[in-house]
Amino acid sequence: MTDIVLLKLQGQAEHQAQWQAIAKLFMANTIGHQLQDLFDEISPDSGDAFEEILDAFPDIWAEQAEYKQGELSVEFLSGPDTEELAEALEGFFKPFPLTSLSINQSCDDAEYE
Amino acid sequence: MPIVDMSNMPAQLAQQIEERTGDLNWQTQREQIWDKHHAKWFYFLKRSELKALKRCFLTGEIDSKLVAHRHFDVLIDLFPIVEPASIGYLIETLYPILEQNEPETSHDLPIESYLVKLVQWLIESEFSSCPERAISYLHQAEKLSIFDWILGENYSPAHQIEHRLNPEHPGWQLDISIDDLLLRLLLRLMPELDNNCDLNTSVLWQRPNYLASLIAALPDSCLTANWEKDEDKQDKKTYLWIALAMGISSATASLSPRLQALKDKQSQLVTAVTKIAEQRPLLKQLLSDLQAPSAFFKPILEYAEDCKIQIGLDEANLKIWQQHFNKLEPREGESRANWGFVDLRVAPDDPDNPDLVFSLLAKIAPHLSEQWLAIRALNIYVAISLLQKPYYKNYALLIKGNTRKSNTCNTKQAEQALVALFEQLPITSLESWIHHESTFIENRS
Repeated sequence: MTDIVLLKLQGQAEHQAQWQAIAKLFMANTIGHQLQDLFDEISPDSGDAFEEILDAFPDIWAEQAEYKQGELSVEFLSGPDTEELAEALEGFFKPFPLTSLSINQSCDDAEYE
Repeated sequence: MPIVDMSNMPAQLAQQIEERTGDLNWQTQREQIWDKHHAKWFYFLKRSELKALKRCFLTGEIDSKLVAHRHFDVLIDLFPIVEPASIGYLIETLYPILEQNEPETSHDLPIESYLVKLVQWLIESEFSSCPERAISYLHQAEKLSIFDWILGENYSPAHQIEHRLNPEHPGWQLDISIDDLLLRLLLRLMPELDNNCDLNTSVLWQRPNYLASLIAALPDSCLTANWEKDEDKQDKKTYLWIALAMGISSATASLSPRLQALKDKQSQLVTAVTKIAEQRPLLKQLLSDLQAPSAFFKPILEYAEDCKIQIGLDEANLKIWQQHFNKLEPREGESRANWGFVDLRVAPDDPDNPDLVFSLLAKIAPHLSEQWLAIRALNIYVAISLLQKPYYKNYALLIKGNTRKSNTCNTKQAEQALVALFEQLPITSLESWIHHESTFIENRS
């Protein structure tokens, strides 16, 4: 059984390039300063706020990520801290200029049945 | 919070750092190197870690947040002074904190593993300018002082390393696995041929006696001429054979000064091994057998000789060649982006592999097309590699021609024919040579 936090968001048209680049970094699991810089471009000072998430969840891992028709979706493996990670991500992404945001928790247990 | 800064380091080191970091030219250069290479290389770090690492690179101040196993080797490498004294000091100061913070990882990564890694980086830095390693920018004398400090004058399985800034410190005992070290060192000898190796900065070729002492310590089983079924064992033997019998020559003209210097260094290695071999009959026999490389290699190997032509191109022509050959994809497992190295195989008469040399010549030198068709008739197997910056010092194309056993053409003819063609093209430099090639060594049986 694997606990997952699924993030889906739709950014504003003017930030499509940044969200696309963010998706690429998540796809490569490059979760570091480049991501923080891109977040800053969309919402000033959010890069530093994202570092707090990285400090609190040092093993954060993006299992899957894609950017399709303006929507970014990222599947985070959350381990035992699913609820905490979901709350932290919600608190982080809420202030962003977005047209939609959803954060769901699920359990990927298909391969363990 | 800084764990290492000017206030708490030994006076001698603090003074060195002050002198270096106070030099405005050094600061400017260091900033440029950081922006060009390191800022990109440490893509996996958080912003605050990256800032702290840059501070270490520019001032020698080390923040406690950086003291983690995943940064430890990098801290030693990026410290403004990289020499035996500073390395010893950093290890003595930082490793106990690591052990405390990450006891499980410390068990798997003892101090010794970092020292061996530094030697590995030193050696890697001489066959390609690894921009991500600050150790690459050291002068030869500085690199040699680290090599000698960690490995000693001659190979010893339990080498004692002194702590230069603290005579009361017991130092460290390095248990060196000969298999591992030998393979790492020998593996690096061959690529020297292809990559504009500068013997003025090389470390490995300056220490033939160390290499000889390592070879002399090999077990008997590594010194025999038979083919090993175990791939790892055979790899070591193959690299040993090639190191002792590179067979660098040219059928066209005299060797370039670079290759001649490399050939001289290889002779020094053989001389050093010959001296030691007096006490090792099997090694003496191996050296004697390798005096006649054709007789030695041919019964064992399918083909072991390779001719190479390395040409330089100016930016405009490079663009034309690059665009032309980019139509082909790199071979499986080779990545354009990561290695700056593309191996394009030109296989004549293969419908899935169009003859891109022919179509290039049709564009840039149609009068040479016929000459190329004549070379194709010799059935030489040609591979073209693009050696790109920053991993190679110059833009260059490496043309490898192999002759198969069944061919009527020998390697000398292949080299002559390829040089005669390529020297007529708009190139800035040309080097050609023949040598024994480990990549194409295969068991005949």
